[in-house]
Amino acid sequence: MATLVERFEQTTIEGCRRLSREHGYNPTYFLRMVSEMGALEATRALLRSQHAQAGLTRLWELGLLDWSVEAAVVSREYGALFSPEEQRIARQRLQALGWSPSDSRLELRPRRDLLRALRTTQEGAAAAGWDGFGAAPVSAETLSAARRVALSLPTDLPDPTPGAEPDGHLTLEWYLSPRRVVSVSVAPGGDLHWAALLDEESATGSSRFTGTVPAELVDLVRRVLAQ
Amino acid sequence: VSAPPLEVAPREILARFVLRPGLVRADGTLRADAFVPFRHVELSVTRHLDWTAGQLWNVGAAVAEAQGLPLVGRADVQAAVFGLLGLAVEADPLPSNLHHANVTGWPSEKPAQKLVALEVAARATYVPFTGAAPALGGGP
Repeated sequence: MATLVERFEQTTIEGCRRLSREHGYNPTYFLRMVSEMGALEATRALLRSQHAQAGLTRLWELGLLDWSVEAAVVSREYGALFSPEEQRIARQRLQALGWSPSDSRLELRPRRDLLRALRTTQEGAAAAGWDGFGAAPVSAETLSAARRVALSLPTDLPDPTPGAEPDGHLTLEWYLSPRRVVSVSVAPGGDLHWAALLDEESATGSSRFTGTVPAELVDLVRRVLAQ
Repeated sequence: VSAPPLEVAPREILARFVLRPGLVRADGTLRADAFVPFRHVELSVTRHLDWTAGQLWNVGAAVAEAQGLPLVGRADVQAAVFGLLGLAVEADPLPSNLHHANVTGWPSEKPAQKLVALEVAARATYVPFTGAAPALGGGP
């Protein structure tokens, strides 16, 4: 009879295969870790990593958070394999994506469409000269930064429309009319630059994104969208 | 073909060719992204002057073809708009486009660039490209 660790290994590998087969997403980085250190240690390494969880975000986009190893870490079936601290980290990451601890169900937040649109925008501008006028490519790092910004937006704000700029920045635009509009540029390192028109008024600003969208910017978006 | 005047008059209409559909909103207005300058901190435009629409589209089609992108449309902006925003329009005739000009004097700070681009976008008129460019007949 397979041990719990062996079952976790089998479940993880089969889950990755199904992701590739049924959803076209191949988590190659994680699978390489699994082949090198086994699923249990690979999962622990992921939980220790401070880097952006691109794989988890991708699963969210696909509506498959319940297929993530983080979900397995907090599950009744496999929770015993992980320390309380590891479970806390996994739960925190899931909650940031809309996981509800009260009923342990995984729920999706409406930013899923925005994340998909960001990916499509980045893919369409990933090559140099994408605009026909010598534009710089929009990098995966910029996409990752823009995703973090998107996930940090207050839930009452509507989704902005993504775009790309010739200097390789991604943009998030909230638009009511040509003179009531906010455009936010997200730079590769996460710096934010914005400008807005509010009828005859205007506003600009810059800030380094540190996990929270600046209150000044959120307030500006609300003012622009206020009828 | 006579050389165009080197001084760009405030009343002149300038065209910025649009090669990406995402730069045009669903309501037919233009995003500021279409006007943010890069690299040389100048914006490449084409002066209408006495050209017909067909001659303008020929230039746009050539630009698009050279880049391997579709010609989506053009943004028309009066030269005076750039002047009001503190920018200058300098004629820069090219062998392939005698009506070529550059919008210069952009601020170096990104938020200020974006604000100018928003102002330009708000005053620009989008003209979609609806068909094949007519045969060359007096364009560039």
